[in-house]
Amino acid sequence: MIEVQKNTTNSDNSNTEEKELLLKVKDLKTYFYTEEGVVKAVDGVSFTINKNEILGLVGETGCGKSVTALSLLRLVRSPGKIISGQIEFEGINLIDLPENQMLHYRGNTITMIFQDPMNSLNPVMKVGDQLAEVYLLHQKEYLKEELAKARQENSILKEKLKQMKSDLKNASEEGAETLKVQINALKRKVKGRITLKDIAYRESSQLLDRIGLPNADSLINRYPHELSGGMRQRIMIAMGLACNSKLLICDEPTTALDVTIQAQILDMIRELKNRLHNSVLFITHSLGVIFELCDRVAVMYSGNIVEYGTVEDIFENPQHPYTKGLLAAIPKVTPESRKNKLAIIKGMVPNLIYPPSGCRFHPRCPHAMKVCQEIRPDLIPLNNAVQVACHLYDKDKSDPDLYRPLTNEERLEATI
Amino acid sequence: MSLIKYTIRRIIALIPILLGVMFLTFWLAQLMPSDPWTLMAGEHMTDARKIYIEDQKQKWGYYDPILTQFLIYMKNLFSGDWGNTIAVLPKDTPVWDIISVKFPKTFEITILSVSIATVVGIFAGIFSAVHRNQWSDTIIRFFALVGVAIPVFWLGMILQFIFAVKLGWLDATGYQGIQYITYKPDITGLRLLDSFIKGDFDVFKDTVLHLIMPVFALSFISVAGITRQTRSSMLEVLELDYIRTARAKGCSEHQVIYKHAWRNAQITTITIVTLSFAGLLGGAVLTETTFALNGMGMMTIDAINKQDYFLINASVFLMTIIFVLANLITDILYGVVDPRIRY
Repeated sequence: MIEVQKNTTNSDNSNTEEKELLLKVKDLKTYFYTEEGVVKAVDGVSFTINKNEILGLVGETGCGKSVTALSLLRLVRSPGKIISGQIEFEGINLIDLPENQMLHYRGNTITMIFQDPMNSLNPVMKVGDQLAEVYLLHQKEYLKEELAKARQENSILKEKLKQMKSDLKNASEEGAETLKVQINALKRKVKGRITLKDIAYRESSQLLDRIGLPNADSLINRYPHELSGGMRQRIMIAMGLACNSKLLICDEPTTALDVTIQAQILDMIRELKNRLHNSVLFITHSLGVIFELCDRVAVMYSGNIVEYGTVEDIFENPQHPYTKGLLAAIPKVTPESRKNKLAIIKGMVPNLIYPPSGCRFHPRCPHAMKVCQEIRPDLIPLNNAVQVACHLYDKDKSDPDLYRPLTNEERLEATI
Repeated sequence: MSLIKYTIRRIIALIPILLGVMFLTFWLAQLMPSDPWTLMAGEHMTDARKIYIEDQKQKWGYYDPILTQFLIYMKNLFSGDWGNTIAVLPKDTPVWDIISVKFPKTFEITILSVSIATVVGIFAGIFSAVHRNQWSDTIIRFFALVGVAIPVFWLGMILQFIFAVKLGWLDATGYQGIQYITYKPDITGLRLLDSFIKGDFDVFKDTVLHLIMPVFALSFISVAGITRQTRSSMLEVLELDYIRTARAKGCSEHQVIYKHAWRNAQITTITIVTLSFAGLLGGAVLTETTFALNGMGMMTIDAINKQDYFLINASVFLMTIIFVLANLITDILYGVVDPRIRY
């Protein structure tokens, strides 16, 4: 495993020399201790994210994508638990941090947006309150400075107003008219008492403006139920980018939205990434989205990463049978395809309490061999940019007993 | 702004309900097998009594159709004349005079026990939800279950046995010590409040000592319901997506619970609190009987037993208003807590 990791860094360096490492996840294991048994939702996942890149995490429903994401923020709830592994963010292992230090990362440097925008905002709090909360949690110092500035400006305005009022008493008739107009204009600018919350609200409104949402001022005074799904997801993204987010984790952010809104949200994420130079971990089950958005991609199957590399390599030349199956399953719109059935990967996502032995994909794999049943394949680098966990690419295939295709009986047994 | 509009809409919607319920109860009272006018005569009918009864019949529209009678009754009700008692002692006194003494007593006990129960119940519920399945949760749930299961009069009697009979710290029954029997709370009618305002701290202390046991018994029972409700709705809310969002934002566990989850969980608790408040205002008959507190509950039972027409009508009317108001308050609080309900 250590050797593999070395190779990973090597290949990364050779490929993209100027890129700096932001996050390194190594052998992450997150298990759920349920009454039926231990669900090994994430079972030894390793990947890295560089600065200013988008890593896609793709896989079927229930393969452990979301749990991986939640593990990064240490938000896995009981009965789930991170068993082992390292999550190194800018050189600091998040696994060992005490909870109160972890709070500084959540919502500040590592942020997350969720699948279902309809339920991800608190229904009884105004949008502005929810945005302002992020500032109040993570940028209190900055807000206090701003508050002091704003109060000073306000008191200067107040003084001016007072001065004008006293002038009004002595002014001549024509002068009084113009003064009155000036005083009224000034009165609108002067505020009674400015609080920290006002400043946080102002920041939120500016943030929505920056992110390109129209009518930010009215938006922050609304409740989530008054907004559309797309709008709520944009608010969520805004919330993720409110502070100095270095890693934005998007957990299927477009799944609950209709197609046109999906495209807009994806554009927004990409555009903001280019502007803010943050990194994104983009989780989805849609390969199309990955191809459009990501730099590199990790394909997950049943709690493991089975293939890992740049988007171009994996799409042009997929190596793992599962990735091949996934790519084949993308519907193609051609006149012939209308007559044919859609391609599928046979079988079901395996039970994570009693996962198949060896390679977890072998019961569904068209190339399954005896060795697949016995030994779990490690993620090994195939060429510079792609790593794959599959025995098909083993260097030493000398043992004829291990490297023979499964018989029909063995296959049947594996499926059961 | 929209909250005010919502409130006004709710109030307007209440008027037909109030009128409907009141007409129904008025009509049902007419169907009682006993005749108030005969009861009014008493055992020895004198000429003066005959004139009085005839007078009353004229006044309440005895010879008119029922709708007219209802209108007459309503008119008198709103002008402050709730009729005179017929069989309940003291006879021939205005019903209003009796209720204006009894109602504050009940109100005082109710508001005390419900506020204590609400505060304790909500915090116990939240605590127990947060510490789900730990030993503290188990203890709270045990007490909540006990509170639901045991009857209030039994709890009252046990309290009396321990604190009045065995320890002798408190008086077992009554609203005041014998030496303060003539004390009249004449500002608000609430003994605690009045004696406090006037600075009669002896009376204040005496009243506190007399109210401890009934208030404890009543609130213990209400706490149980509120705790259980709060716990279950908290558990539900804590699993929701926006709570995960709050955690991902970097909220501490305390902020997650009291800023994000609590308000959402209160919506179901509000109903329990307001309705138990209304129910207790109508009179906690068992508690009043156990502690010989002569409040609304005992008065109503007495009126029903003696078929005192005007007193029954008055207490039903009062109860209707209380429940309708409680529903109104519930609706308004819903609106305050949950903006989605306002529209």
